[in-house]
Amino acid sequence: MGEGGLTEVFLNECTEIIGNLESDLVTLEEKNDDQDIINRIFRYFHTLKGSSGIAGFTVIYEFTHNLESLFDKVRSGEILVNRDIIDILLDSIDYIKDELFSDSGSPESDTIRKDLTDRINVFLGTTDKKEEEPEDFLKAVGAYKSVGSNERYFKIAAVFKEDIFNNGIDPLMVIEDLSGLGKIISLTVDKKRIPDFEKLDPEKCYMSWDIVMKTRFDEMKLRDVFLFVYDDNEIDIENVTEKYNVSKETPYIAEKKLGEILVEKGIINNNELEDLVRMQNDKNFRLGDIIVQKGLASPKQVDEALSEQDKIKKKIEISTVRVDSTKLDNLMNLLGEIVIGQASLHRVADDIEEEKAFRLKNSLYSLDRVTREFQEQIMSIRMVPIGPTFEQFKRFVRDAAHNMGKEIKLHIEGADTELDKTVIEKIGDPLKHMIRNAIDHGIERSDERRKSGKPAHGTINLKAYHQEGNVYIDVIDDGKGFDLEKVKRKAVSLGMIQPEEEITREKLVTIVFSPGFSTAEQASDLSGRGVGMDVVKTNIEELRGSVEVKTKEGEGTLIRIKLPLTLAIIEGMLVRIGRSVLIIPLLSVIETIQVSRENYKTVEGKGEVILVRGDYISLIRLNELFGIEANFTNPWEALIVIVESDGERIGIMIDDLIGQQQIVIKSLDNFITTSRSISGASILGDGRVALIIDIHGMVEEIKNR
Amino acid sequence: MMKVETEVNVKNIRSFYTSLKNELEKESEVILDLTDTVRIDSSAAQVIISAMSRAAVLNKKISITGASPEMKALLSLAGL
Repeated sequence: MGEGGLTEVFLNECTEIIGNLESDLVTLEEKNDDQDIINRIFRYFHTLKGSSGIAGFTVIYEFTHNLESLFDKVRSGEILVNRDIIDILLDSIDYIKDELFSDSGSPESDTIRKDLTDRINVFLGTTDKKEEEPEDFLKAVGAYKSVGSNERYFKIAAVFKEDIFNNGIDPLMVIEDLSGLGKIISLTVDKKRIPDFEKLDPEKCYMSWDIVMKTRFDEMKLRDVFLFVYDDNEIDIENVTEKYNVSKETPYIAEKKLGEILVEKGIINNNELEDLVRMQNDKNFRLGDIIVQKGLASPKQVDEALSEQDKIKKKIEISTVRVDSTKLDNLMNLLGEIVIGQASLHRVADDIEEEKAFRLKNSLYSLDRVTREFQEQIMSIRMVPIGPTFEQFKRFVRDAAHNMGKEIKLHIEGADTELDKTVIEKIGDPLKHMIRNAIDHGIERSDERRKSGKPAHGTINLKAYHQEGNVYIDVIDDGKGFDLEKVKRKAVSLGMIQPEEEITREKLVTIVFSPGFSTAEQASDLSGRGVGMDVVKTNIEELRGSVEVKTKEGEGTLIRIKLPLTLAIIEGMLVRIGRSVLIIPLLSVIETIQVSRENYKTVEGKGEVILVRGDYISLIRLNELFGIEANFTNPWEALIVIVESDGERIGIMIDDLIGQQQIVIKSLDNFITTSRSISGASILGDGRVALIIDIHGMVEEIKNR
Repeated sequence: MMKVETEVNVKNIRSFYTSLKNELEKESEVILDLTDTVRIDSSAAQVIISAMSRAAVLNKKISITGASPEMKALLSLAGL
């Protein structure tokens, strides 16, 4: 791997790790004894250290080594998690980000690093001991200790794979970490494995070690050192304490699914597991230890469950593959071409002799099924959970709220909800702006909130969910809601509405999405400059989504974003108007009807309406909207496609239905059309281009006329 | 005397290997000067180990000088 490639891999990895670290650190501030999060954070620092060393970022390597040491003390319980620790760690992450990702790096970077290192050293030198935990508890109950104070001896055999350098791992660094855990009694490098100098490929690894070391740490701690090489390399750690005539203590490794495995095996039941987990949280001991101590399982059973856990982990790791996302985009584009080709073959089938056409169509239907399945599979690969996007806002909310002197908690729901990769990439900025507005304008200061009988801390809820083939994201705050009077005054002063104009509450709310609109008297660092909400709306509409706002003065605001599952292919209904073919997204279509002459009316102020099962619904003439010629001018002669937009039904008048098919969406540049009624175009089987109607945009466009 | 770079790792190991090979071919004794070297990785360690074995076969010698205490500790862990 070239230097550039290695650096790129490292930086990509760092982006992911830093995002996870920020989110986990903010969560840890609230749940300061969550061992899962603590262990995860430790592993992130460990990986950052190892990878930066290999990628040649020596300064970062040394700096993260300090962070790892600091967090090791957190992990061992020597240092309590508090705001100061989290501040140092987050500031350190900011420094690392700056060092790695800013073009020139900060000119004060050395000073910043030195200052941070000094702050870290203060903590490393001070042990803010926890209130005397019942250290003797395990001894008292006769349980196995996870970390003992007595020294143990371990024999470690480590044979590394030849291609380990490709993974950015330096075995010598691993051995160096290991040596930091105790005293090396003996160390042998098997030089026989290293080829003759003339035949040596220096970019392959031939190193292997046999080490005996004395340490006060347990086997798990030693295994942690080999965390990222354990599965793919031959690492054998044997407790040889007995051979060195030191008291024998068998440590157990407890990881989070141990309890589940034991329940599955019928060794313990769910009630027992709940009690054990509670006890584990209270006492901060390992689950395996407690289970053995309580006599619910033998040490052997716990060991077996742990082995099984390792196997499961390995299986999961092997079954996942990282793929460059552009390859997925290419696959989707190629599939798009296949779909167009199929549509073209359907056209050919229409023109050939009946028997051959029948056979061709049968084959094509089978092919359609496979293509559809293929599309679903590719779609599922492109779908990624929104969780990481949501998680990144934890840090943002923490810092922004702190700067504004407010207390705000971010609550996340539906982190597993999956969206198309492209949507995920583009939704971050609009979401950030909405959250920023909620912090700045929505949520009140604590004293103000208390006066209104609200909890001192405000809450922002980020919620994602699937519904009716769409993805919804709600940003809900429990702040003071919109001051609609103020919105109206501002709109009048900006000339957006007339002072005497009767305006509905719904319409007033939508004014906040107008360019240049802001009610803030003063622009803050966060918002209030009148740019943003209009951009938010435009960005979301570019994703073929929509935004809806609901607000209640004094109680809060809900901003709901509706997004399509995918941006690439839709099911469309092809309709004909005169000689033109248009596409209506099938998701919006409720039914197609013919209306009788009696059920068609013209209502003043509402235009044309039709009566459908007792309800009057508006009628839209596409030919007038797009300036095309239609075969029928009377609604009772034409067909009416009933569609739904934002819960409202609308009838669209067409000449004829052609059928439904998968539509590959091709975007249209603004110079072709700025109409909101068109979301894109598609190439039909006969090579013609058909415009895709954006139902929501069309309704909005008509309403605003 | 062969002056070794500040860092030798998998990124520049090929040039280190080639330089050492050339030195070993023309000199009866190669002294690796680690005065400016702050870190080597496994790839560098195995090149030096292999070169030392080769030198022994050729009745030549490779020695190390100028290593800082930290480097000495690292070399020791690498079996050097």
